[in-house]
Amino acid sequence: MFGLRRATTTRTDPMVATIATEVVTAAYPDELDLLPRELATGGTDLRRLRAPVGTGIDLAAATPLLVSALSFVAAAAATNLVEGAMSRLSAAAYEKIAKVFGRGAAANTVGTDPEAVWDELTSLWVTLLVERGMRPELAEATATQIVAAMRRRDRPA
Amino acid sequence: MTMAAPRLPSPGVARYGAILLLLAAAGLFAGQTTFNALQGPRWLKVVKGCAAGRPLDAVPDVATSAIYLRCVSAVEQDRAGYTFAGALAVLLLGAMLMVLLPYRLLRRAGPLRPAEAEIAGRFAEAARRLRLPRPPAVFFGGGQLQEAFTVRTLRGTRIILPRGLRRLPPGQIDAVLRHEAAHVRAGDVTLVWLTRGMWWALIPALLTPLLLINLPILLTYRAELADDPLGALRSMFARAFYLNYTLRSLLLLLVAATVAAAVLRSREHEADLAAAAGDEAGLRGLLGDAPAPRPSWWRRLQAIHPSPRRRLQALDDPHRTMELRPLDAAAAGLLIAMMTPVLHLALPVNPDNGVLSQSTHLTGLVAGILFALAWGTALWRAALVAERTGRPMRLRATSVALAAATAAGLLAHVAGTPAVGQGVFDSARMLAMLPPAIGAAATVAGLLARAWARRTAGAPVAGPTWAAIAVLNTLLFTGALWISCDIFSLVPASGGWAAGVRDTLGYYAMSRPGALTVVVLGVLAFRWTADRPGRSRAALLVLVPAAAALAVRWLVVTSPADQATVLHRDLWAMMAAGGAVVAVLLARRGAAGLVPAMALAPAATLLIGAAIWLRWAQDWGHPGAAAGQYLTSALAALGPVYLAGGLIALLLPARRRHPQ
Repeated sequence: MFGLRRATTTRTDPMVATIATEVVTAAYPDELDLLPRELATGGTDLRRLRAPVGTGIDLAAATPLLVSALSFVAAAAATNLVEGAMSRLSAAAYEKIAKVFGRGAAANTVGTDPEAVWDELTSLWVTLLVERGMRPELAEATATQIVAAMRRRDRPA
Repeated sequence: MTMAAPRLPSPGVARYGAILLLLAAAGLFAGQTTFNALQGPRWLKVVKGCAAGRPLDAVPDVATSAIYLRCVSAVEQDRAGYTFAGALAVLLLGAMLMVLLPYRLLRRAGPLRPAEAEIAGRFAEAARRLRLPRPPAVFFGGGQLQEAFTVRTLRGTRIILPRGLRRLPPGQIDAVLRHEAAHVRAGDVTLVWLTRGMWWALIPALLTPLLLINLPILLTYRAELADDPLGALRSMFARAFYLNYTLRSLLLLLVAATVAAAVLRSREHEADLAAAAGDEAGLRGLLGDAPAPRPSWWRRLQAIHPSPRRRLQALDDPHRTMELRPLDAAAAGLLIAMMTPVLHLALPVNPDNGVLSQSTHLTGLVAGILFALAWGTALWRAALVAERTGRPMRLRATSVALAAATAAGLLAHVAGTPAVGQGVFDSARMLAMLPPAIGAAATVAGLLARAWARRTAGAPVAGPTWAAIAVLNTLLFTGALWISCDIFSLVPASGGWAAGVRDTLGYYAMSRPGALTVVVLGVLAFRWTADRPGRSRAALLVLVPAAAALAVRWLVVTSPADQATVLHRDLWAMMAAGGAVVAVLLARRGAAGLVPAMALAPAATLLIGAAIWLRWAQDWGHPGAAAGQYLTSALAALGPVYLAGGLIALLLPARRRHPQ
């Protein structure tokens, strides 16, 4: 009837913190106060609080879902363990992620349309955010913001 | 375009009441078991001493009863004190937890911040639309909060909103706020949290007797228990008492939690409909955008909200939410039947043979009121809906579910003994009487409701009418409970089923409440029967059975007999005439024939009552008083007949209909 839950503290990837801060500042400034806690837990505490007299519709804040998705991708880039939506990525898209999250060399995008890669990454972020409970239209806007932040970090040095 | 549903009373509050009463009754049982653990040997010694060597289940005469009662009075008062202290403890602890549990949820939902002016203004508008006298304060929760909810704290009601609410379009924000306001207006906040508080409070109450029984053992054999705690537990649960007590307690908690979730799900539909009144686009958008998971049946059973798909269906066709469902009938029957034996056991013992025992009738009255409010209201509401939509009422399926669940509840109640079938309420006699009687009462109520709905053409009615309907349902269900419990009590006392039924009917024919119920039913049935038989046919329907019954009574059954047997024969003649009217109309019109039968049968029995009174008039010292008694008998005798008619109507094939 009634469950307990505990939050855990993890060390968050610096790039996750950077991108999350940029996206939240730009798109969800009213959620900036949530960011420190979410970065501290790595967005791992997404369990639902079950209230007996409520609306029954999930209206989660964007920040926890954003940090959770970013942390998942950063972990995949760090460990080379890809699963779920990431396993369907093209090599170019995966290398782009590896580069942005500081886990690989410059992406070898010879022969690929750069815009197609960014579109592929936008789709990935939408999928990951929706999987975590974000509404599709909000997920698309957030994914666009994430990709914009990634693009800023993908410029040649 | 769907037809707008009228605002009709909800049986939800009564169902919460039934859950709360079940939990409180379990508290009574816990108190009584605690008494047994602490004072059991003393009680047994006193009771055996007062019985003076007579077996405790022997039937004493009235004088012996009075002496016995005085003798056991003190120890019985002690037992009643413990018993009611158990319920009081559960109620008080439950009320305390009702206040404290929301704080735990608030802490987990926090940190809280007052909502900005725009959201607060929107909520004030929602509260105004839903006519909340005191709008609650509105707060935003922390990042982990995903769902809007409402709690009551010592500083008033609080609406807590998730941060994601701000991402919604204005119409959807209003829908969320109106949904929460609808819960506040319906009184769900207090009911749900009190149910929750009492659920938690019952656990220590049920554990207390176990602890008290085992405390001396725990203290004496500390070292041995520390060496092999599992072995100690195994040997403990190998004993039937512990296993029975534990399993029944767990079942009670499981049933209470599951039914509470089911009631809450139905309340969600009501809150949605209230929230969508006049502007449903926002709520539709909100539900349409929500993910549609497909949880397992177990998750669905535990869920406190219906799926978004079901909620949208309810918005499309609001009448569906007010139709009868076998699952709801089963939930009501199970709850009330699990409570009834426990309440009966807790009431002070009446050591006579049980006939006229106030504890039985008081228990029957409480259970009758609960059946009337938790199920009767749903029946009459569904009748109006069926009239508006033209869809079937599902009276048969739900009455069968109600009766079956009543039987299950009588078997599974928390105070049951390890030897199933040996107690009062789980005995074969009681199971043969009570559940069918409840099913029959529900059928009679449902058929009356159908006739009434046809008469009103499905138009909504005012509040006082619903109060009158509640009284009528109480008369029907309480009558069913009293008749079946009295037959149960008299069967062993009279030395067999036939004699027991005969004596009960003889006893019941003296019942003024029974006579009053039959008069009320007759007047209502007369008013609501649209296709009454014509005058000549009605006269034939009344006169032929009456004349036949009188002829048999006076020309065939003529052997000499004592006064009691003569009275019984007169009574059987009245019942036979009324029963014949019911049987003819049921045979001709199927279940629908019961309502016109209730309009005509009193005329037949009254005719016989008058004829018998005239025949014996010169023998009566007070003919006026005798007339009053015959009037009562002629009417009250129809109560069991109607119940039997309800049972037959329940079993009749659905296709049988009177041509309109």
